[in-house]
Amino acid sequence: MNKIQNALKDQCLADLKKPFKIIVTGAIAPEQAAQMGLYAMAGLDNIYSGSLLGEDILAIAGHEAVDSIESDGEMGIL
Amino acid sequence: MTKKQTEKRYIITFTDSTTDQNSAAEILDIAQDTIQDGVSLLATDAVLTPTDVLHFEGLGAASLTLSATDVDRYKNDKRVLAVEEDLEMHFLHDESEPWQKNPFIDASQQDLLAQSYQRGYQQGISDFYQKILADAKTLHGSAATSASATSLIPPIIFTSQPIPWNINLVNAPQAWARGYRGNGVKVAVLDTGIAAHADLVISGGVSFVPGVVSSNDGHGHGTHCAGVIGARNNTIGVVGVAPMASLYAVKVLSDAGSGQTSWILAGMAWARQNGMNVISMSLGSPSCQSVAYTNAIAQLNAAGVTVVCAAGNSGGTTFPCVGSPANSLGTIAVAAVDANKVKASFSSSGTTCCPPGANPVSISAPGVSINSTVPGGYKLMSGTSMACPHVAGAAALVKQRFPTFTPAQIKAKLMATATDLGTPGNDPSYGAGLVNCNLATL
Repeated sequence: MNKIQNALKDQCLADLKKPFKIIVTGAIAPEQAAQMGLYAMAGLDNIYSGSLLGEDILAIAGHEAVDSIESDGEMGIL
Repeated sequence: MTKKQTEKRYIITFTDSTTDQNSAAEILDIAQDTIQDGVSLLATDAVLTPTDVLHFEGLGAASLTLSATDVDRYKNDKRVLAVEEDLEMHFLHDESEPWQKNPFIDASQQDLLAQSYQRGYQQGISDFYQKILADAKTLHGSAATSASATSLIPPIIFTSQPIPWNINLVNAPQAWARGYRGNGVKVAVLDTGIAAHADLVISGGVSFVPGVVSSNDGHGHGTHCAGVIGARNNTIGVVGVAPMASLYAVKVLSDAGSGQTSWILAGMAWARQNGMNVISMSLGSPSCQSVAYTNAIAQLNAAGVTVVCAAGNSGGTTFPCVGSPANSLGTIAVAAVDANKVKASFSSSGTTCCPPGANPVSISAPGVSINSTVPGGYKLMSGTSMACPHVAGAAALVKQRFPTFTPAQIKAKLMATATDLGTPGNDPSYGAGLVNCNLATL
């Protein structure tokens, strides 16, 4: 199962040492999230944010508790 | 003699000209939910019935049907200044009145005629009220000092709130006339912030833009959306769909008009933690459904927060689908129509979306050339951003009408009562059709 958003995965594979801002969802234990370098979003359950290197993003995708990894992408006015 | 023959409509003038609607109900000894705002009702083409009880805010007067016994009772009430037969109210029943819709003049001329008629009616009420006061002054003049006689006559200000075409198109005034104006409903505007404006009352605010403490709007987009939701029903500018809703400015987009997903999620979390009833999100990107947004929206829905999103402005592009976050299940995704109820070419639709089963367009609302508040004045703007707050305002009206409704029930109510547009039934372009505040609050 592909947990990483396709475009983000391509970016990570292209530059393993580059940091990317990400949003991670999953029932991750607090201490495990901290080890991953993720911060829980206050007020929302099971949603985390962080800035990780491409190789680290690919690595945390292997954790069972991680459901999805998406780019902390930009949104704009409509 | 039958009851119909003995009962007539009367205008009751209260001794205290500042008597509000609730106090009027108390004086008249009727339930508060049976009294309606007269100016709002008269701004519509609603037909009065004998049981309608109207209160005129700022005028200290009410209009209702009374028996002779009732008239005597009120005349002896110290809180009532005068009870006079109402000769004016029946004009609204007259289908031949010149301001009625005329197929040979355009909509703007019809609006001018309607406003002219309304001003004439208000002037008539003013003259009538002055006559009542003059009579009362004559009756009580011998006992009153000069000072008390002066205080008997309150300042009377007759005003007219222009009602924008888009507010009429969604039938909001009809809902107001029945008392549904968003009172007690908290609506968070997740946008570029809200600027202080004479036509807006901002109940609170917060910023999730890094380095920006204030929820002020340095762009104008958020203030425009806020005005569509809740610009006040006063004498100036415009009026929103839910003019009595409590507006909260949640700044999740910079003054350049953009923001990161994490800022927006933080704003959604704030809305959940602070008891918002509705959030209006006129933002997004032309991208596939996001797991994080879907997860967050489910949590907000579970907490009783109705999430309304602009469907997107990518119609006619290589990604014509409903964008994120509107394409997450649990949102009300709003498409834009023009004044002729035709889908705007830029409005995203629900076809070929990703993933299959993503949330399609739920409903439509005006989104072309919408006049609303911006810092320092008013401005026309177009976009599904402008359509979204119409539905957020409508959701606030429904929440007031049905306080126990869940977000899913509010969405279902809005969709079930929408005026069908396009292909019969739900369709990818219009969803259930044009939002109808009147039917949604019946």
